[in-house]
Amino acid sequence: MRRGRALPPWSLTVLAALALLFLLLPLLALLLRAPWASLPRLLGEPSVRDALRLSLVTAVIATSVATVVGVPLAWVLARVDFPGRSLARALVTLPLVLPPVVGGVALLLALGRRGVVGGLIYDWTGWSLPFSTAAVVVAETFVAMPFLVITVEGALRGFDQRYEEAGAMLGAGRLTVLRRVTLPMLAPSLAAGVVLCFARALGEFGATITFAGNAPGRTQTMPLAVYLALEDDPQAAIALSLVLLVVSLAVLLLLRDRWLRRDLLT
Amino acid sequence: MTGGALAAQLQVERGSLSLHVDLAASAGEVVVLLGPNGAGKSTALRALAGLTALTAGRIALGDQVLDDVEAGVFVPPERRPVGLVHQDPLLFPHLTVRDNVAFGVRARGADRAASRRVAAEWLERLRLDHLAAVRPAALSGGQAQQVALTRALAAGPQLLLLDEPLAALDASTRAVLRTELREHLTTYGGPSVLVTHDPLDALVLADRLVVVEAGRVVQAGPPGDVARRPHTDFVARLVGLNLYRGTRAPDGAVALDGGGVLRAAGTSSATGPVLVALRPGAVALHASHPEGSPRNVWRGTVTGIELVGDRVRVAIDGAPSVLADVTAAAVADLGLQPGLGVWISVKANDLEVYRSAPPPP
Amino acid sequence: MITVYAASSLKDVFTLLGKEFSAAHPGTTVVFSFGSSSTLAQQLTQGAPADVFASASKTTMQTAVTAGSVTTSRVFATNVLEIATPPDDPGHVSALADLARSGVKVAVCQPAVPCGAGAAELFTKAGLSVTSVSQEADVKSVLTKVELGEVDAGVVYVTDVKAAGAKVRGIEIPTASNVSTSYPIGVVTASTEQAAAAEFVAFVLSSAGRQTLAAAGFGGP
Repeated sequence: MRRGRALPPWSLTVLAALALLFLLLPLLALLLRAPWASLPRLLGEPSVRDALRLSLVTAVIATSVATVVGVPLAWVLARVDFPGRSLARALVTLPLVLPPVVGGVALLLALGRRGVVGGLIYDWTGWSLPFSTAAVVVAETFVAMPFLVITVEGALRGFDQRYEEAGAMLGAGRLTVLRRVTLPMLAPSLAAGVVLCFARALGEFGATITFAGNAPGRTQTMPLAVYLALEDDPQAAIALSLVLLVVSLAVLLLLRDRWLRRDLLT
Repeated sequence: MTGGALAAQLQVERGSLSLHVDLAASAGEVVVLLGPNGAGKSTALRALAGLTALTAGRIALGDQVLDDVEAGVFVPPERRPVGLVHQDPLLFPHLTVRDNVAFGVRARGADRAASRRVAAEWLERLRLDHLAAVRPAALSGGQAQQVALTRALAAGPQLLLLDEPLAALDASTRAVLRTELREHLTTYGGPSVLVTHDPLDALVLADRLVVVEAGRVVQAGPPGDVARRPHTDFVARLVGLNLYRGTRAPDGAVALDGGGVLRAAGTSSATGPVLVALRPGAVALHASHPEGSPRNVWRGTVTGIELVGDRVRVAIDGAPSVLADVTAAAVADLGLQPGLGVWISVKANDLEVYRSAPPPP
Repeated sequence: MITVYAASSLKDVFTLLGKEFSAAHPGTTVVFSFGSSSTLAQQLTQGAPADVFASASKTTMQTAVTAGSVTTSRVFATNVLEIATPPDDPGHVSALADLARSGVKVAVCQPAVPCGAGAAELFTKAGLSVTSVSQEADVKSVLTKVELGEVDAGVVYVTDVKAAGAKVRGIEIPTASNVSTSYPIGVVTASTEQAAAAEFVAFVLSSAGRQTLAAAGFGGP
C-alpha cells in the first residue's frame, strides 16, 4: 500500500490520456510538418500581416461589443422574470448550434443590401454592411457572443444572491451592487466567458466569408487566408495555420495568467 | 443617526407560511424574537428589511413609513436606513476588511478616502483595527461575524436587524461573542431586533422577549418573566421547565388536563384555566411514600434516564408525568431504572401558577 | 456506384449527365462531389475516394496528373466568362467596362481557382483596373452573391448564367475580349471502379454527352 497521496484510478487515467492524445495529435502533426524554413518569409508578406492584423483587431472589437451588450443580456436573463424568458434563452443559444455559414446567410437576409433591415438602410443612405471590415466584426460577434452570454448567465444563476442582498442592505442600488459586488466576485467566470468569446471570434470562418466576403486587407481574416491558401499552396496554408495557432495560444496564456493571479478565494 | 422607534404590523402569506406579528421596539431597546425553526421569525426580519414583501401591514421607523401595503408605500431595501447581520457574515471576498466596512459608507455617497476613514474609526472602536488589511478568507468565524457587525453599524442604520448572528459559531466562540454583542447592542442607539432559537441568546441579549410560534406571537415580555412563566411547551422545553395546563378550583387545587392534582402555595381568588410551571430540580424522588411536609405526592413509573451535565434527568410517567433532576448518587441509592415505580414529591412553594394571558402588544 | 469529383461550374450539367448515364447503364449509380477545381485536386492528392475527376482548367488537371492522381485526361468542353447582374440591375451595368466604375460592387472568384484566374486575365486583357469587394471560394458562391442582390455584378461562366435562368441577368462579353477555359476529364488512377469510371468518361465525351453539354451552354472541346 502506497503511503501519502493515492494514484488516480487507472481507468480514468487511460481515458484522460486518450482524450489528451486525440486533442494534441493534430497540433503536434502541424508542428512537425510545418515549413519552418519558409516561415520568416511568409510572416514578412504583407497579405499575411494584413490577415493577422485584421483577425486580431476584429476579434478584439467583436469581443468588446459582445461584453458590453452581452453581460447586461446575461443579467436580464438570469435575474428578470419576463414573459418569454425561456424562449429568449433558447434563441440566444441558437448561434451556438447553427452552422456558421447558415448564420452568415441569415445575416445577409437581415443586414444585406436586400435585407429586412439592411435594405431599409441601403435605400435611405446608399450604404450596406456586407464586404466591409465592420461586417467581419458583425459576423464574429454574432457567432461568439452566445458563448459569453451563456457563461455569464450560468455564473449569475449560480451566484449566492445573499451577497447582493447584503450590498442592498448597506445602501447600494442594483447597478452599484452589480458593479462592486457581483461582477468582481464573478471575475473568473467573466474572464472565462470573454476568453471563450475571443477564441471563437478569432477562429470564425463560415459566417465571415458568407456575410463579409473575402477581400485581402479588408475582410480576409486568417482563417479565410488559410482556407484559400489550401487551394494552391498547402505549405503556405500550414504555415499560416501555425501562425494563427501560436497567436491564439499566446492570447489564451496571457489572459489566464492575469486572472489566475487574482484568485479571490485564497 | 437619529431615528425613531419601530412600529410594525407584519402580515406575510406565502405558500405554507402565514405570519401575523406585531412588533415594537423603542430606541436602544433590544427585542429578541425566539421560536422554533419555521416559526416565521426570519421572514419577519426579512419583511422589516424589505427583502420580503408584506401581504398586509405597515412598517414605520419614527416618522418614516418604510412599508404600507394599503397606502401603496414601499421603500426598497437599499433606501431603508436598516442594517442586517446574517448568520453567515457574507463579507465581500474580493475586498479587505476595511473596504468591506467602508462599503456601506461609500454606497451612501462618501468618496473612497472619507469612507476608509470612517471604516478605520469603527474598526478601532470595536478593537478590530489589526484586521483592517486582511481578506475575509483569512478570518476566523468569530472575527468574520464581528466584522460583519461593524460593517452594518458603520453604515449608520436607524434600525439594526440580526438573524441568528451566533448560530454558525462553535460553542466557545459563541459564548465570547455573545458578551461582545451585548456590549455593542447596548452602545447602539437605535432599536434592534434579533432572531434566535438559542434560549441563552434570548436571556442574555434581550430587553424584551417575543416568542413566535407558527407565525403568531404566543408570549412577550421581559426575558426573566417569560423564562419563569412560559406559556408554551416550546419555551418550557427551552428553559427546561415542566409545564402543565389545568383548571384552578376555588380551594386552590389545580386539576391538571393530563390527570392529577397539584397544590401551590398562597391563595388566589383566580379560578379557571391556568398554567403550572415546575423546575425539574425541585422534584424529589423516593422509594416509598415520603413523610413530612410536601403537599404534592404521587406515584409514577420511570421511563427514561439521561445524563445532563453533572445531573441526571429522569423522565417519569404518572398523573402528572414529570421531568426530575437528581444527583447520580440518588440514582444509585434508589436503584432507578426504566420500569421502576417511584414516589414523587413537590413542595407547594416550588410551583408557579399563572394565567395564560393574551400576549401584551 | 462511381464517385465523380467535378468543378462547381459543372454542377447542373453533370447532374443531368449522371441521370442520363444511370438510365443508359442500369445498376450503376453516379454520386457527385462539386467544389472548386483546386480544392478537389488537393483532396485527390490526399487520397479522396473518387473515380472520375473533371476540372475547370487544364492547370488544375495538371496538378492532379503531377501528383499522380490522374494518368490521362481529355478535354470535353470549353467555357467562356460572362457578367451576371441581379435582374433589377442596381449598379447600372451594361458592359465589361462598367465593372471598373467606382461604386460598382463586383464579386469574382479568388485568384487560385480557374474562374478567378480567368477573371483576372479578362481584366488585364481589357486594360481594366477592377477592385472586387469579394473574392469567393468558388463560382457558385459568386453567383449566390449576385442572386441575393448583395453585389452589382459577378464574373461567372456563361453556363452559370444559363443555369440561373431568371434569377440573374447576363451580359455577354465579346469573344475577342473574352477568356476561355478548357474542361479536362480523366479516370482517377487509384479508382476501384476503373471499368465503370472509363464508361462514364466515354459517355461524357460521346455525342450524347456533347449534346447535353451544348444545351447547357458549354462550347465544344
